[in-house]
Amino acid sequence: MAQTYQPEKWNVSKNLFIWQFRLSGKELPGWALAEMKANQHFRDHVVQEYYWRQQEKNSMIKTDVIATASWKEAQEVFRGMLQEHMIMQLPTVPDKLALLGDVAYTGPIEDISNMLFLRANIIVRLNSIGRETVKVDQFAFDIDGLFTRSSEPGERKTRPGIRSFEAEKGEARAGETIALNLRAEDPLQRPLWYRFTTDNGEISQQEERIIFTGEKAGDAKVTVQAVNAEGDTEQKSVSIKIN
Amino acid sequence: MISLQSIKFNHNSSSCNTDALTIRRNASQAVNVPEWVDGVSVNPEDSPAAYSIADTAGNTITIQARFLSTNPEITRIQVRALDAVTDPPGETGCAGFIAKLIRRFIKAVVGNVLGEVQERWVDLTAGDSGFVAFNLINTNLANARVSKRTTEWRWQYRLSAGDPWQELRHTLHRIYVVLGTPTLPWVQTAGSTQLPWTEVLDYACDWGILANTPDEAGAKVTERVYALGPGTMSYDCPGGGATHYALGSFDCTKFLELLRGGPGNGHLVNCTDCATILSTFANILGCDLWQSRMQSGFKLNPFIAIGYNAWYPGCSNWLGTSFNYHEVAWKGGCTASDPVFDACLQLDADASPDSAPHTPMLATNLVFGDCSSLGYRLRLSPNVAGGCSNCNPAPGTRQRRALI
Repeated sequence: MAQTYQPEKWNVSKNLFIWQFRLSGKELPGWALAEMKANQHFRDHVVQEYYWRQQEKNSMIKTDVIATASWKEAQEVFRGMLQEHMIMQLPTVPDKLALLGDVAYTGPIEDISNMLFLRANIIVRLNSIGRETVKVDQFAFDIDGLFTRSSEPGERKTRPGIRSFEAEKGEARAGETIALNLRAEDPLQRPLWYRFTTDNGEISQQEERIIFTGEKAGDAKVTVQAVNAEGDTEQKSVSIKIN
Repeated sequence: MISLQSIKFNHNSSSCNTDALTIRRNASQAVNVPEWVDGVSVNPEDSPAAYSIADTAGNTITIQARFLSTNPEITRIQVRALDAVTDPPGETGCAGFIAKLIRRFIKAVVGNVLGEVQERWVDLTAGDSGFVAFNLINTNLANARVSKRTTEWRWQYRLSAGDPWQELRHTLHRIYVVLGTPTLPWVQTAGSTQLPWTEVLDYACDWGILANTPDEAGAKVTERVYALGPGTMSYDCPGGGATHYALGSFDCTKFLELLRGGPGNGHLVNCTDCATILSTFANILGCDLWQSRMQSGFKLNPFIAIGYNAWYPGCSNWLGTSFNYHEVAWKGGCTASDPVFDACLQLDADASPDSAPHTPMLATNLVFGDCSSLGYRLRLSPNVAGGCSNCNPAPGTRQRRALI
């Protein structure tokens, strides 16, 4: 007997890449970030652990985030996470949660108090850990939305600044990798995270460099959005010709 | 005026044959040496020290102490320390005798095992003795077994051999007694976060109290970890049996938070968590256990999971009655011929573990075994297709997770 997860049937967000992701504690209305730590690991990957407390209630949700270097690596790590369950096969989430992540699993109970989902190169695990057990589905959608919903660049003076965003080459063959050079900063020196998207290909990380790989001949547009702790954003795009 | 300035128990961090083990409080706080400092140390836990019975056997235990004098004319004093419990000041007569007997009994169970500080002459230079070594006499470490104790010393001094002793200071110390040098993940490397934590010793010495051998200590810790259910923790049936404390490293800091009544990482645990907790808390007492798995995908006999009270082969909310894998605390090479300790499940102890009635037993030092004899393996997994024959030791998975 072996576990029968079928990764070939999972959706894949190849055109999305999340880089240097972190939660600041202000993203989830009604929840206060009680603690964050990053000293746990799974295989060679750092696990960011966030402990959220709901004001005036005995409910807490723990959110584990693992950022990998590519969607392929994320699928590999996600499979490993699934195999760390003693149950033979975790159920996938109910149909009403079908839009969550590229793929999502939950424990075999009606009240969804735990969840494991994958989106692009990010793996997220959520567990209700307080005295009062709470559902984590809405919380999961809110987290997933941070990855998938581009927000309009703000007008505030404290929004991040993208100083430069360039492709190492303006032209490449399909399947060829091109390094993307990015220089951005927050006016208040707060940490930034980045949401990369493209309409033709995929984005990944090789060592410390961000890499674009074109998929088919034609034009490709790569956009980066820098996000700061307040959720303020700034974005820039580059165009690359794929031969 | 003469004063006791400080006391070192772990005065040689490269050895624990004649002094205390090198320890720390938790992941972030060290135990400073000297452990006892005038004006800083008030309660016993302010001055902790741990001793290994095996390593100190047959040796004279020594401590170091430093004295100050505000009178420069005093250049030499004689110093000793008595057991303040069995030799309290000012008790006389019949009542005093009875009180002394009662105190001696208490001492045997939880009291002082370090005995007394043997008297010696101490030279003072410019009012400072520097650290001076003292032998401990009437120690009782060899008979102490696993325990957490308090040592109370009445320090005394005099200027001449014929003078009456003058009371100098009353000091309190938390003394942990373990069977041997803690094994991995615990180390004796100065400065490491994997030095034995007093916050773990506080629980482990209670759980393994009065154990005289590693197997006995392992069994006691197994029973106490399982007994944490359901009040403190329960098997993760709702989440499909995921690990919450030992994904990569053992989040001992969060587990201690849970033990103290805080949220920790929640009250749900799986077999990996139980194996990691058990082996880590047993190994700090001198056991030598691993976390190791059996796999892959095997049917189950009924058992009672930690925190539950009903017999079931797995969890009643799961589809199927199999485990993908199972993890236990395991001795030796973690092979079929090596014994296991399992704090996650109570198995059926009778001759037919696949059918009622069931007789609950915790696997403590039970040989893993094969599919033809009633060892751990056949009690966990029935000898049917997809059962015991799939439940194979995986010694390649054996590890001792580091602590965070």
